[in-house]
Amino acid sequence: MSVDTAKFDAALEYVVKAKAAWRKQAQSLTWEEKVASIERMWVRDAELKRIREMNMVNRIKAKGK
Amino acid sequence: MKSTLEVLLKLRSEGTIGQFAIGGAVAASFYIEAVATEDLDIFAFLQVAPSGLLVLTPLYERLKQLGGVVKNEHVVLHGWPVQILPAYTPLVEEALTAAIEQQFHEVVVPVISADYLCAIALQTGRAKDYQRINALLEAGVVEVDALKKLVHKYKLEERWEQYVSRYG
Repeated sequence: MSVDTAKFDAALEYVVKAKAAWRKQAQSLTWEEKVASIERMWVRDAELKRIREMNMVNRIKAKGK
Repeated sequence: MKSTLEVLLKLRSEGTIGQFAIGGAVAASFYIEAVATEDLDIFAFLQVAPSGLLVLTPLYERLKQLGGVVKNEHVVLHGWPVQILPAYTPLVEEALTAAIEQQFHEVVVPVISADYLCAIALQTGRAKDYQRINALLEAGVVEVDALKKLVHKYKLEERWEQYVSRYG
């Protein structure tokens, strides 16, 4: 579904609905599925950390040139 | 996490730790959607020396024998950093005693109830604790009257007011 982001109220309503739907779905998972999702978050967070650190190193290198 | 829980059950059955229960974000994830967490918080009744000090050495030695790796304040057990916390307040002691057995795969483990999770979060009082209370209350998994009794019993009224002023 697409939403016209120029119409602020409609866009906001869409976001609220989407978040509520996501939350309902997330709450309906089994405990085992939720714990598995926590474990997947570790992988995601480690990758984000790696990218952040790499960007920082690149910025420092660029400043040094 | 199943293997991690099996180790904890083994520790309990052999008497290395007393009664224990899962708390923190992993316990909350039983009732509401999962949120990121770095560790598994375990509340437990631990051995106390005649002097009144906690005796942690036998526990850590046994954890190492069972494959645990000590890393800062955690013991990594089958991939999960575990923090074993003594039942440090009367509220936590009561929460431990009132924990509810839940099934994780084929393993049955005690989990702190939603009411007590809220009360403990109030007592801890960090921003993320208030968020957890809000999520638990919004999900309708807390018995509000029971929580209010805990708030009164453990003199958490001021914290409750803080919570209400932020989220109420």
